[in-house]
Amino acid sequence: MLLLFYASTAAENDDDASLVIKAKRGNREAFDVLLEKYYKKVYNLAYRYVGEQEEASDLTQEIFTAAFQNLRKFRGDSKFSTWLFQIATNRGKNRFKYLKRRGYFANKGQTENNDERDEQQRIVPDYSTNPETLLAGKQVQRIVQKAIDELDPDHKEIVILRDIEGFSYEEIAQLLNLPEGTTKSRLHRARMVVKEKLKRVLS
Amino acid sequence: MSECERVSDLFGEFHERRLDKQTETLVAKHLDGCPYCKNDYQWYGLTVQTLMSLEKVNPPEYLLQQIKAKLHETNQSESVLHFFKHLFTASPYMPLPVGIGALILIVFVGVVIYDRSPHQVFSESAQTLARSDSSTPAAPLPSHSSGVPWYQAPSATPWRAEGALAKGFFGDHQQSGGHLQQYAMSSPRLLEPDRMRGGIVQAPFAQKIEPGNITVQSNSIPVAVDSLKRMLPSLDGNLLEEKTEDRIGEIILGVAIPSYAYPKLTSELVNFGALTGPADPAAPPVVRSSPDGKKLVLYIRFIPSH
Repeated sequence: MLLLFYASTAAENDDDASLVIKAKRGNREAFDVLLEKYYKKVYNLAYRYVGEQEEASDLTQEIFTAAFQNLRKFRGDSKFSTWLFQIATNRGKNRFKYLKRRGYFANKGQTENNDERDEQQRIVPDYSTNPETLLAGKQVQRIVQKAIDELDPDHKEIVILRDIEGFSYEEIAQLLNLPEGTTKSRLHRARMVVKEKLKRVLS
Repeated sequence: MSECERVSDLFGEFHERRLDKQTETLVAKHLDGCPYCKNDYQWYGLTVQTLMSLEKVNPPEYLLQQIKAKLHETNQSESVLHFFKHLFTASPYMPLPVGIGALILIVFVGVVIYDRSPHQVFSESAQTLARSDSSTPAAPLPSHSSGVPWYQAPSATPWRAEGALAKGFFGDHQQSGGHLQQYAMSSPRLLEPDRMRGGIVQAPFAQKIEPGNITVQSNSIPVAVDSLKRMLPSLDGNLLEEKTEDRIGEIILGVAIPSYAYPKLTSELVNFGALTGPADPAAPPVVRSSPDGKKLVLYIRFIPSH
């Protein structure tokens, strides 16, 4: 079973590599295949950075444009997906910093707080006795997203990559060019911050 | 650091089962006996679970098409840039400035080879326009500006000198049908100062011969050239340079004469019946002057008559 998994992963990487070679030679269809394969994952990553659909769409477009323009510089030292997500995290982090400077998240938080109050007045779920409701509740998702938005950029990207997008520590270390130990300690600190916020709101 | 703090630092690894057996047992024991840490760890686990279970967000349906369209746009705008980037090398990392530099070098070499700057081309066009507007008698267009090589006879019928031709100046050869012609040019181009060095015009020969200069058709070119050379001292003139085009049997002489001697020279040529135009020999069709402005520089081309 494990062998089968490794075989399929290797085949996938080979597929990507051959598509990249074709795309580098100017084959647009090859790049379109890569785009179709990864755009949802990149969009999700972008969404976690900016927390809003329209911004996430813009960011996704920017990420793929940058990848397309810089494809000639990709030498195949790493997997294409690693390289692509490296671009995505860099761009995502930059966009997040830019939006934060402009007070985008503060304004957004205020609007959402009002929505939350309205929602709480309608339904008051008992989180203490029903953890499934807690996990599935849209409100909790929103609280968590807000807590992520409030993290500093270095912690935010690690939570996104590890807990939300499910990258391995090794992959994250490669993506962010960090030692694995630093990645783990940053993740722990970020989780503790989110935990405190969640606890404060839901207790 | 208290034991609670140490255990709290290990929450992440404990949650992901990455601790060694011994540490894991110690943490588990502490959590069993410390309600504060136990509660804190429950929240930690809940947080991680919540983060991991955050709903995947579906991108808008239009997004894929939008990205494709954007890439297509980028591709098109980049193709021109890409062409220049890769114009001179197969290497994809050639910097754009190198490509531009190479292009400039090619243009420069081209200009040097043909010695025709865009400025010259424009000024010649302006002269052509001015000529077409002027009331001077119709003259054939300058051969080189009409695209005909300078050494070809103009397509318009040249004025032919009738009667006996000069014996003193051109010798007997003229009597057997030789004729001279000058292609008048209404506004002769002045020579740029930087082309003159030490009284000698530095422009290449190909450029010196133009419609404003004199073309002599002769069936005995060496005799005609010799006659002209002998005549120069009497006009206070001097020979600047001489070039022979062996391939087509032409000789070009560059001579400098005082401006007062020009009418004399042209009159003499006309009297000998060896020169066409300009209509008034005293009119100043002189093309160039020496750097000190005291002498006029003429180029006389001797071409064989057939």
